[in-house]
Amino acid sequence: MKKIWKVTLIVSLILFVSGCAIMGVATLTGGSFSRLYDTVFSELDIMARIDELIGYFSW
Amino acid sequence: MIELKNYLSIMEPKDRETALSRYEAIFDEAGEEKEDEVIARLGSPAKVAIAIKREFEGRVPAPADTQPVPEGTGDESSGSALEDENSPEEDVSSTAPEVDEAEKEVQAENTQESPDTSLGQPAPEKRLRPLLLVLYIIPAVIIGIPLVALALALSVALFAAGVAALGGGVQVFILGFSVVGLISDSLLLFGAGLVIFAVGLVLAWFAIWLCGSSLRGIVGGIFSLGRRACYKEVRSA
Repeated sequence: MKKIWKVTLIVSLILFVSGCAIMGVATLTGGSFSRLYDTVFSELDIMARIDELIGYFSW
Repeated sequence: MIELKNYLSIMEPKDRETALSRYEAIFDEAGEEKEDEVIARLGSPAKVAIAIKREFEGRVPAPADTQPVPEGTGDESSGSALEDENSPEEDVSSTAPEVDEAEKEVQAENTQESPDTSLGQPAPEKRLRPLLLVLYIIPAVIIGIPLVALALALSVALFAAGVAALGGGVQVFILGFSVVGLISDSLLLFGAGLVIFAVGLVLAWFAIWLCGSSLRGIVGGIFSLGRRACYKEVRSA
């Protein structure tokens, strides 16, 4: 059990650090979340999907 | 030799055979006439057993006088080997406390495997107090069930959040491939996907751990408290 916990923690730590590094590089090279929201997320209409999901649980 | 064999019964069979064959060789070499002399020189079987045991544990080297004598030397050399250093009387007297200590050590080791239960006092008997048990069960159930439910609800909520984060991370990562335009925006999504996935992994596993440990802790705590409260120790005569 302890071994699995350790492996999970190490894997998630590696993923987290590499994700942060990639995001850092992307930000330095001109990446922007606000632009992504305007282009990708608005097209997908993610907020409407989230509202829909919440609607299932609220009664 | 039989007594020595008994003392060495705690040793590895291979080591025991090696040691016994060495001492048998010494006795064979000395012959029947000088058997008593050899016994007096070596000391009691307990002392010899301790020496052998220490030697095989690597604590001390083998005593010089227990090494087999080369065959070419004949009876003279064995006789001189027996007569050198101290006389038998001096040897026995100088090692008497050591022999006692050695015998005690061997006996202690032999008795470790079969502890004598008759030495200690009889174990106290535990008697159930039914009235206290009934009085304990009611608050234990009233407090225990909501606690278990709370722990379960918390674990399930955390697990759901973890699974949602895992799914979300994968979704965001895949979304990175669909971005048309700047590569940096795709990278941003890849990075965010990895971070969300990592958080989801930790959350999901933490929920599993919390569920197991909290349930075990609550139920185990209630039972151990009950055992302490509802049983009375009575010393039997």
